[in-house]
Amino acid sequence: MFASVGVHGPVLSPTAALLFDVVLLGAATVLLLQDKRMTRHQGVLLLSFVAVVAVLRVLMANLPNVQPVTVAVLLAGASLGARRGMAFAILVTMLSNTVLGDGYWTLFQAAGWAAIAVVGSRARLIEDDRLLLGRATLFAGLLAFPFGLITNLSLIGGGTGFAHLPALVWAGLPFDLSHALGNVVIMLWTGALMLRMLLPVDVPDAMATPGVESDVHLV
Amino acid sequence: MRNTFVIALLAVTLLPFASASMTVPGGYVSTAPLVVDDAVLIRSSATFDGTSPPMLRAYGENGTVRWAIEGPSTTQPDMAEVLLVPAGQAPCGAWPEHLIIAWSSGLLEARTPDEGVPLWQANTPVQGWGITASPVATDDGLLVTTRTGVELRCFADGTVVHAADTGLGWRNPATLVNGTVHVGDESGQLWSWVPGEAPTSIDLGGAIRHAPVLLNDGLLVHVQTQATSRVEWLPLGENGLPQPASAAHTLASGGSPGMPVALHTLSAAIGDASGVQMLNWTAEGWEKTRLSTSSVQGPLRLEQGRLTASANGPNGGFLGFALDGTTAALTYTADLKGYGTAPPVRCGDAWLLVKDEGKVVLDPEEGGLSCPLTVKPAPVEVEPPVDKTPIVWTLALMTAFLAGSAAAYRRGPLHGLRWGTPFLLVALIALMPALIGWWAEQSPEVQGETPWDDAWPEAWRDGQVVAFELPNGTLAVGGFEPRPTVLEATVAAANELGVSLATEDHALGQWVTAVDGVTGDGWIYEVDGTRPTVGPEAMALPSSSVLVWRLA
Repeated sequence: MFASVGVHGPVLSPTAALLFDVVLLGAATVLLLQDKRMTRHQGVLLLSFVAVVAVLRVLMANLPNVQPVTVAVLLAGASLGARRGMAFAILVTMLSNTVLGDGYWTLFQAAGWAAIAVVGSRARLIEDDRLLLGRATLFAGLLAFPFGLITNLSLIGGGTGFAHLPALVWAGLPFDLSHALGNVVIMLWTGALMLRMLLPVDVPDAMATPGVESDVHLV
Repeated sequence: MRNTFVIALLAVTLLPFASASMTVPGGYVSTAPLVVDDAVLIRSSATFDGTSPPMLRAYGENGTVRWAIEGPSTTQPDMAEVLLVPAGQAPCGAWPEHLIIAWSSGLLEARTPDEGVPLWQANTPVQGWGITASPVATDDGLLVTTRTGVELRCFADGTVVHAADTGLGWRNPATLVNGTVHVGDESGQLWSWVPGEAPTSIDLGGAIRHAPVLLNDGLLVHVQTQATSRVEWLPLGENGLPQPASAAHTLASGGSPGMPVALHTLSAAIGDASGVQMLNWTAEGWEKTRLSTSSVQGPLRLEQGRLTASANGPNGGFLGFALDGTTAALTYTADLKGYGTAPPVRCGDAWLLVKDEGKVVLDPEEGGLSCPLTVKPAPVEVEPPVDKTPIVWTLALMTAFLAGSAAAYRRGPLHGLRWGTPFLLVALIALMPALIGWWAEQSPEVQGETPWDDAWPEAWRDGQVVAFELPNGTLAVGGFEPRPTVLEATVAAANELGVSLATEDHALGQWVTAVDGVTGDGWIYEVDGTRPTVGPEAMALPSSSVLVWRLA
């Protein structure tokens, strides 16, 4: 299934790549469908935010490891919960990687950001719909390092064993530092704005409103 | 008497250090060596029995091979001179200093002069053979006479800018005069071509096997006929095209002519089986001076005011003439004789002499101690380029400190962080390239341990060793001439071991996909225990290293 050129971990064959994409997309769909609290309005809002963050990631791709996705995912987890946060992470990763390059590493990036969403959901970053900026900034900065570790795992395989992991982590530390500092800057400047975009507004979901079905009369 | 004895003793003591000789293995050496910085480049053709491929070797101190590249095997000799192109730029791109190597297989390639690493490669038409003419560097681009025509290529990437079909040629370089290219062919046509337009030709009969020589606003052509030859001079018209040959300047000469060279605006030297002549152009005709009766069938060379050539015959030596108004022949002290066409080449303060059979001698006319073949190169102090990155990150750090301090003072530490961190990020991004390099050097595990099998001969230690870890055992070979890249060393080792090799083109260049028919999940390589992150085609291989290929 794998063909190695020994540069970026195993390279997926077209079939394997398709399989990975199907698995990731399926996981995101299941996570979204399982969340019974989500209204359609919130669903549309979430998908719009996915598109915005994916575009941001592509636009900032030239800056070494400055990742707006991490902050967005952390806040998505904090505001929407773990399931929707994880789905958000998977979808942003897949969408942005269609431009930046899809491959074996997509799985690890999606896993890394999904883990950050879970952390966000449990880190009590929001109080009374207000972002605890200091705490959120601290988490955003620190989480860059475990994310770097998870993505480094994508380089294992294709002749690179776990014995090479310390060297890979060492080599990636300057990039992790850049990721952390970028997260701090993005959180401090756009964290509150992102949260406003993510928090549900008081727009009733028509189909979820009691009595709507009975008002519809098919003649 | 005593002084004379001391001087003689000193000369006898120093002579072995000043002179050097060696033999280039493989087929004939038909082209002059090229001296590049601290190396001497010598190319050899394939042997007729196919036992040795065409090669280009870079020799350093004491004749050690710095790197060697192998050309595609053909039965035709490689007779195109290697060309050194200085760095430059044109609308089609910029290029570093590089070598242009043309092969009789039709392959044309550019490589770095220091390590021989390929920069670009291109294929040219083959009809029986490919390129036998020396490429020419011009202001308009790289002028290449192919087997079937002439091309103007970009130095940066080898792309064809203009091309034209002419007649079939052999050892027929082109000459560019005021934007018009002139080139002869095997049927005696003298072609003229303005790049981008259709070529025209004049029939001179015979065969033209040299670059037309610009002389007194005309072209001198030494046409080879059945058993003799004929010198023609064709004035160039206002349109840049050659006019019919001047009858007064048509001169019958000996057979098998060499390649003439212009000496001054009105004089040239020609060589053929009857010897070497100097021709001075006058309105009435040629004023001839015979310089030698030794047969010269290769290029005549003008270097440092001296006309040189190789005498081609069983007892042929080398010819050298000072061009200071006299025609006194220089004498070479080296006793190197035999068939040959490559003229002597200046190497430091000595002359490099080479004959067909690959015998190379450094003739220490005035000492010979400064030729790369005999001396250690002096370390060159290169001034580092000015890097403005530190200025950027220093300014960014200062701004971060000021902005953060001001904001922290006015509205608290979080605001200080908010205003300070963007500038810190800018500083980090500006610093990143230097930081990555510095960080990598600090890594305790960057350099892997060089693998060494005690069963391998100790003689391999100073050279390149290539090992293939196959499922049924490891095959290894060493002690071959060092190759510049991993891929070339791999191919050489596979040939030596009789192992088949399959390669595939990837975005990162060629990649080895099968060794001895084994594909597995792909093949990876390590150099001295470390896995490089570039493809084998682009990876320079140190002249002393262990390259291991194993299944992924």
